[in-house]
Amino acid sequence: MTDQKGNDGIGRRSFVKGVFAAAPLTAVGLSRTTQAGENAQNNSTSTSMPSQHVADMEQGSVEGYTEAQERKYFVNNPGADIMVDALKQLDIEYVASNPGSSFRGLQESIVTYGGNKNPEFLTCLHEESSVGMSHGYAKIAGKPMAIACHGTVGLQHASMALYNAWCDRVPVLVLAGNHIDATQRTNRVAWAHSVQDTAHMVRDFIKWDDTPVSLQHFMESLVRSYKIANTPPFGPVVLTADAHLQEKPAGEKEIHIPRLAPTTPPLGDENSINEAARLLVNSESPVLMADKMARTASGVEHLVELAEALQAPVIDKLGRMNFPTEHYLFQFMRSRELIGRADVILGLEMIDMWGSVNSVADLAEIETKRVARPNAKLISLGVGDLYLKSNYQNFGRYTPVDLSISGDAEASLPYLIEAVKKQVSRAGRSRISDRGKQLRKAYEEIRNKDREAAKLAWHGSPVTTARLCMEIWESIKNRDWSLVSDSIFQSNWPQRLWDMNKHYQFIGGSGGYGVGYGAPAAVGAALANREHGRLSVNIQSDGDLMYAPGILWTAAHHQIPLLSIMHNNRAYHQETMHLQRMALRRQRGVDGNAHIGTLIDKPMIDFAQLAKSMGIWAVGPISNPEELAPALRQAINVVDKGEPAVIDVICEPR
Amino acid sequence: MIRNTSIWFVPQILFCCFSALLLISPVLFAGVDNASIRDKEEPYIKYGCYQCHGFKGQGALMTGTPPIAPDVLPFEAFAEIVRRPYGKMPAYSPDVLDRATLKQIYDHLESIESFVE
Repeated sequence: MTDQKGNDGIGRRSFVKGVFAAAPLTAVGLSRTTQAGENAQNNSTSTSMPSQHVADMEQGSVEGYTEAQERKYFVNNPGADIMVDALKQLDIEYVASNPGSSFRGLQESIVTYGGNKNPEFLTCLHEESSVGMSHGYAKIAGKPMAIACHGTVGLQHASMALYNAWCDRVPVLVLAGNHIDATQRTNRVAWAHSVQDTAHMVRDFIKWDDTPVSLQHFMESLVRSYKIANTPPFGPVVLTADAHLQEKPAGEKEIHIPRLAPTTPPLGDENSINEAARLLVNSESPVLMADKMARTASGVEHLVELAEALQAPVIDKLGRMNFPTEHYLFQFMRSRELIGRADVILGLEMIDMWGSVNSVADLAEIETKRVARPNAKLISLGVGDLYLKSNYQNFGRYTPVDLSISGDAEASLPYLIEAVKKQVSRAGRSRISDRGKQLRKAYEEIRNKDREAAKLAWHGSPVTTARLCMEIWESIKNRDWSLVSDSIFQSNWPQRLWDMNKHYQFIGGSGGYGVGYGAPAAVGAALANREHGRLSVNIQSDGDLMYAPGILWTAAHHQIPLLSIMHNNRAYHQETMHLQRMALRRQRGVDGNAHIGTLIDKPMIDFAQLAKSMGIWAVGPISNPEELAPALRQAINVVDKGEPAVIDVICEPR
Repeated sequence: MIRNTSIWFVPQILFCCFSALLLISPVLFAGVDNASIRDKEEPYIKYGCYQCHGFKGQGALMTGTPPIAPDVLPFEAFAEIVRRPYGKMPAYSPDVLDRATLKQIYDHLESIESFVE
């Protein structure tokens, strides 16, 4: 029977009566006009209120929740808050992350409890970007940032970037979320994102890992992780931050965050250092090589002091900014000639000593030749032998050196310098001085040669790498600048013709040659440069950017000032050359097949539009070199305002 | 109808201007060359010489190649190096690059002088 409004009032009233059948109402609890009641009346599909729930309500606390309900709904002191306390104590300024449920507890603690400052949560659109950013950041800041990711799918994404950091000897702190307790996994996603042994997949290329089972365990492991990551040889570490530890209450027991006890870098032993000095002082043509040596300005200064004491040429292998390019002893371009003549060669933190004194021709029949003199004395000083793993072969070919000194090169240099100065005799000084004059002359010659070489095809289109780099140099040379990208694909024009003299003006490359490092590392390095007001310059390879271009959005979102100039050669050009080599070796398909699978064209990617789509000021594509200078001026104006800018330039391949 | 000369000629003048613009537009509005390398027929590009030596034969440190233009070796010396190269360069045998095409590449290099500063 319906009422005057046409409602089937009998049916609705019966439903409501059924809901409250077992729930006597109290003054503290509910009346028929409560929200629950209204919901029950208004929504015929809502479920009945469980009787236990109603019974709980009868026992209500002062705030309206029973103790049982409080335990059910709220966590007042989550473990992740203390994790954030520990990150602050370690002075971790940033946590780069693509958000994920397995570390939602940690993220919430960072952004709310921690005030999203020290650390600040940096939103990345791919875990490879998170680690890449950390990689570049650490090389400028001299300390790691943390990244947070799923211990499964996130770590999988991050793994190549971790390998690069491992090869490059750079500290990265990975906090990996997991749900080790099967009974705590709330849905199938949590099951897919759970793993027994989080770091198993990456253990071959990280320094250390742990899976803490309690909060106190976590704190101690976090501090230890940081310590190990920052002990030479530096490297990435992985610490599992189980969701259980993050989200459950920390409990009543006090959690202690231990003090960090940094490990001092190991030094070369005194006897070996003295022997190295003796060999160098008594040599006719010593050569110094440095790869991943200088981590601070001291490293650069000490290498200058050593080189000047010996008047020895320095071959910078460009793993870092090891030696000022405007110094006459910077003889990078004469590498083969000098190695071929040297009687004593000192390698500092060399990754590939063998490859520096030998050459291998990539022909159908591999040809190996010794470049150094057969009787040249080889000395290595570094930490590479102290910690390495066997599966991944980034350690390079075994080199039978004459003196192998284990010690951090930067830290050991002052002692080597002292030993050299003590051993240089009056007669030796004259010989050393003459050597210096010749090297000064050779330096001028090589610089002039490079200036002439840069002029070739100066007005050509596509833009030559020389023209690209020199236009950039003209725009930045009077600024406090920092080149946050590698220069090898531009044939090292920055090292050949720019004046680099500060350790932050070049940070080397990826280490593992994993493509995709460049863009995020540049953003991370620019972030570290930001507080110093430096102009960060990134010569960006097109193929590299396309691995995870979302890093451009991260740069825009976090207002990271970065000048990116595309070295857009529309190809994975190294692979184009590899394919051509294969075709020629097999005498087939040499007239164009190398372009299949290696060119990035048809369609051509519009990098300016790509950047603009992510909120970045951009211009291009430019193929007329005369347009570079005005574009650079405009872009630098944008960067000076604290934002990233991109110039797309169509360039020669190398 | 009395013909107003100025009005009568305007559309014709406009048409001529437009036509002239069309003729010279490739020069005026020359932009980025979006033609793919795949579609270029010049042997210097098709046979991959540009990959290591650059589009203008300027060479590159990274590929270990010296400049091969604008100062070009005599043809026979050039051909010998292409057939039996030194260093990292792979060999182009007559089977894959005949002498006539090699000469076309050589002629291209000789023409590159105009791109030099």
